[in-house]
Amino acid sequence: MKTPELPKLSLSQAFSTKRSATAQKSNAMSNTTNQTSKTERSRVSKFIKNISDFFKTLFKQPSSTNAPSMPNMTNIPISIVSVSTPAVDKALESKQAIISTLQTVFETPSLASNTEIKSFKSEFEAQDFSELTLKESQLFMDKVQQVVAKDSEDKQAIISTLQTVFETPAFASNTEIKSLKSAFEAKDFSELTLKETQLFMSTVKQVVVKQAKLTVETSKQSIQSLIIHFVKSTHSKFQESIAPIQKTVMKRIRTIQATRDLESKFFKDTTGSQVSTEKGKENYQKLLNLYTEKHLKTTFTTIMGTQYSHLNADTKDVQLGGRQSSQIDADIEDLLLNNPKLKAQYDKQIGGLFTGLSSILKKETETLIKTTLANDQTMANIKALQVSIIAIQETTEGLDQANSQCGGSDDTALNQTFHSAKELMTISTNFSHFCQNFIEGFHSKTHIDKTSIKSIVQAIADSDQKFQAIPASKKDAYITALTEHLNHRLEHKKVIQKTSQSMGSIDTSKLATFKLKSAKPSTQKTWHKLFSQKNKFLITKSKGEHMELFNKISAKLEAKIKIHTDLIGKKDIKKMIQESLSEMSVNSSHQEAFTQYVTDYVIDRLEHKNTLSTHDAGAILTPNKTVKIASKKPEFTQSPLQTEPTFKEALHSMTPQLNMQMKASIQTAYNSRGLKSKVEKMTQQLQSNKISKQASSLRTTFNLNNQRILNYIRTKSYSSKDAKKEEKPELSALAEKLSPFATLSDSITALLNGDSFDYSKLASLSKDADAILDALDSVKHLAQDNAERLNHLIETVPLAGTLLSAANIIKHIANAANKEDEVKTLREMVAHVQSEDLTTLFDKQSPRVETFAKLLTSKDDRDKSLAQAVYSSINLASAPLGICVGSLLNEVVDTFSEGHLNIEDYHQIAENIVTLNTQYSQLATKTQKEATHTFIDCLRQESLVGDEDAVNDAFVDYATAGVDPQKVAAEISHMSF
Amino acid sequence: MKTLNILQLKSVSQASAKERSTLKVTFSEKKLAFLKEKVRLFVDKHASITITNKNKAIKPEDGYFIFTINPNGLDLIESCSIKKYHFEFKFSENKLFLNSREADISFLDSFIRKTTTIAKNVENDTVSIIKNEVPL
Repeated sequence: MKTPELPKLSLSQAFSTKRSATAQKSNAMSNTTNQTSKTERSRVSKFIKNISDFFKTLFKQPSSTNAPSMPNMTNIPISIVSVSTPAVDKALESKQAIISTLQTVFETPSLASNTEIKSFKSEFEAQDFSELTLKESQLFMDKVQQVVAKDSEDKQAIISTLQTVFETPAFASNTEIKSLKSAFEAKDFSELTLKETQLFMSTVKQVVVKQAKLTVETSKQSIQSLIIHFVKSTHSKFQESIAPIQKTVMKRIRTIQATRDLESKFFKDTTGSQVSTEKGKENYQKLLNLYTEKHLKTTFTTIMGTQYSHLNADTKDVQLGGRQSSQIDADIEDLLLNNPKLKAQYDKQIGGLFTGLSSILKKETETLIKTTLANDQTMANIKALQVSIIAIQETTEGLDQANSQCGGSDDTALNQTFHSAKELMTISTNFSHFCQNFIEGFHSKTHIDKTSIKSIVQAIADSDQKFQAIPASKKDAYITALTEHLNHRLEHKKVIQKTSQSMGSIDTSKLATFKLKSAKPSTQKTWHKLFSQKNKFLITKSKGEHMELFNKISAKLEAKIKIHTDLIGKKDIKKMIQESLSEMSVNSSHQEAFTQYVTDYVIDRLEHKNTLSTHDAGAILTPNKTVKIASKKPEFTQSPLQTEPTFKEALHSMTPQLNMQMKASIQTAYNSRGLKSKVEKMTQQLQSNKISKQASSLRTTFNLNNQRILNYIRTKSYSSKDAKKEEKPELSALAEKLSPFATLSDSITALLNGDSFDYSKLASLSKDADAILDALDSVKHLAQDNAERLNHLIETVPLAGTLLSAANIIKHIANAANKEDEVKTLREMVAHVQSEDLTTLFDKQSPRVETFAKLLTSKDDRDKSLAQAVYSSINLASAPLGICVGSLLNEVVDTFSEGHLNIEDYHQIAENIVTLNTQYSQLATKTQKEATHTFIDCLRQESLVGDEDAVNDAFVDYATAGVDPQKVAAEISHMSF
Repeated sequence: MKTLNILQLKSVSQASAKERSTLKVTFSEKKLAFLKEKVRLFVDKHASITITNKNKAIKPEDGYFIFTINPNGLDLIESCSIKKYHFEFKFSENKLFLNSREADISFLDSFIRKTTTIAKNVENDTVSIIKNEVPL
């Protein structure tokens, strides 16, 4: 290969005689030379310039010395640049040569439009060179040479930048870039003027900006859809589960406070008058709250949403302990006019009531604090993801502005735009991957595969003496055999998903015995539209809506499923159903609803029968299963691991450590699953507690506590209230009665969302609604004897809440004179609350909270039935976004008179649950600026693989500190030199 | 008069197209040796030579750069507001690093641009040139 020519001349010159002279001088120099001589500056400047030039050659050379030979760009004979070479210098020693060169320059078309060249040309034409000395001619030539060199350098720089753009992988797949690249390769730049080159560059610049914007937009769409899916399908369920906890604790606090009727005494003590004023009432409530805060600490601050307000941001190990008692006492003293006598009295009368309460409330308050913190953390994380991508997108506007401001006259403009665009694309793509991984879990952290097993095996083997006894030539074979065995064992024991499986893949070994139609009564009951319902004497009492159609196609459909071997998704199943319908020449008006229903049934059936994989290869299926390394099967007993004596001994020796490490790795992988999995786990815990019939269930605990608290208050109180009886657990039967109507709430949700509605079905729906209301009526008597109201009771029954809402709406529409008008009114109300605008999802300014407040205050003006229907509609509409706020607010009206919770209390609960506490960032240990810098810097990497922990940590700091879009945008757009 | 040989330029572009996407900032052995030698001669008996505008910056938030040339390589730190670039070309590894990560050729242009600007600043006497007797 021809070695690329080095810029020897320049570099050598930079260190030639001048260097030695200066070096000698510098020997006597101290460290700093601010007053550097001009010669020295020139030498250093030249050296640095030459370094730049030296690095520039990398743009023009093959990547390695072994690369195939190719023409060297440094050898490209660019005469207009090479006028500075010694050869040309020599040639220019004659005046004639100068004139000849100048003539050629002035005749070069690509230089014709250069204004400076034009001016030189005029001067040249007017000049009589015979009258000029050689030196004067050379001087003229030098000036021309400088302009030509500048023109050429500018063009060359643009070409070089364009090449970099075209070869950057992020842009290479863009069709517009591809076509511009073809045009670039076909262009003869020597014939183009600088302006024409700049024009071409400007087109490339626009495409680059467009591509960056498109990439960011695509990332944004994917992140937003991921967030909406997470919020609707996972987080909202968690929020729904924590709503009763918040209500109960809030109610508990208000009940305790209400047992002290000292309001008029307080007015008299503090104002001298018993007449109440707004200010006086406010101060009295403040006093009660201060005593509650003093004794219940974090329980109280959590329920009031002030748990993060008094954290010391400088403390690294943040505790939610609340304020010191002395600080609270100081506030109490202020309210009591700094009168020690009064303080002592109220300490006894109000403070005494709380003494000892916190131990009774311990378990539920722990749950309250834990769940509220988890909810805030989840919201902060999701908000950080959502705000960040909006901020990233905003920076693309800056890209446009910078683009237009630069004017695009030189390659610096293209370079800046290109680098900014490239960095923005890297950031947004990395961010999109991070979002997916943060919510779902990082693959490498959550999966066990042969590579991870091998690294464990190798690490243990390296420190094992018996392994050292294995001949060196067989060591690799041992490691491979053991890795294969362990992987097979974990797969076989269903600890990890098989390598051959992926999400949605079919386990063909189970397909042969797969039966589409279930014979199980409970399954038939769940999928009642496809089966007939029988009584206990097995006599058919009703036929499912789609039963006939399903019977017709089931054999065909089953056969189609059985021959399917690839990945299977809803689309595939829908297609199979449609094909089966068409092959059986079935034509039904309900075909669409039928297809949808059967698709859901088939997916459920395949999953239930473990035929359809819901995990990808290597995912942890059962984290707690203990798997013995040794197997009794011949595949193991007859394998080299057992037949080869040295292998057997090594395995025996390594087994205890292998067992321990494998178990730990599986647990780690299981626990490293993403935010979704964590929230699902918490929800399951809360829901299983909520619906459990066991005495240990959370609600029962709450009710038992209620009893204990009321007893406690009774013994301490001057005017205790009647204790209410414990909840009876018979409600489970209700769930059975309601299960056939499971899909009713979906139909009504669709109606509220604006889907077309078949009014002719109203009569039959109304019948279903009556059945639901009857079923719920049958448990009404429980409410009369119970501390909890009916609405509370039905919360413990799956589906009952949403079905009650659906039934209320149906009855309201069925009874209305103008049904369509009523539907329109309800739809309008729902539209207010069903905002999917992510920017306001967790904000206190959310119009949803405001809408609820308006509805509440205007309830008296409304027809009671409409009001009921409106609250029910809000329940259905708000359920996917969070708690059933409609139900919560409906209850406000009913309970208001009882004095337990007031409207502010309910607003406070709604805020606690559906909005992010503004003080949450007090938990942060890094400033917003630092956290933003660290996280965005992580996203600048080419890939996040291998750095997952660091990125996760950086993100948690970033989310906790609260994301400021302006800081994100500043961090991203601050890229230029 | 010879003209810009665009055909040759094109052929280079096409031939290097496949290589370009994975090109690292690495010199051939010969070129690296040449550069090392030149740097050694430039630094001479000093441990390193630092060129910086840090002491001359009017406001700290305007940012600064520190370019250090030493027999082991080149080290350029540029800090501007909250952003920091740290380019290192290590002779021992024959690689260019940006913020401790190996940089590909698409980052080279930024490095060249920065050094060119520094060269201009040196000429304009807006920087300090510090000759370090002991290694930094």
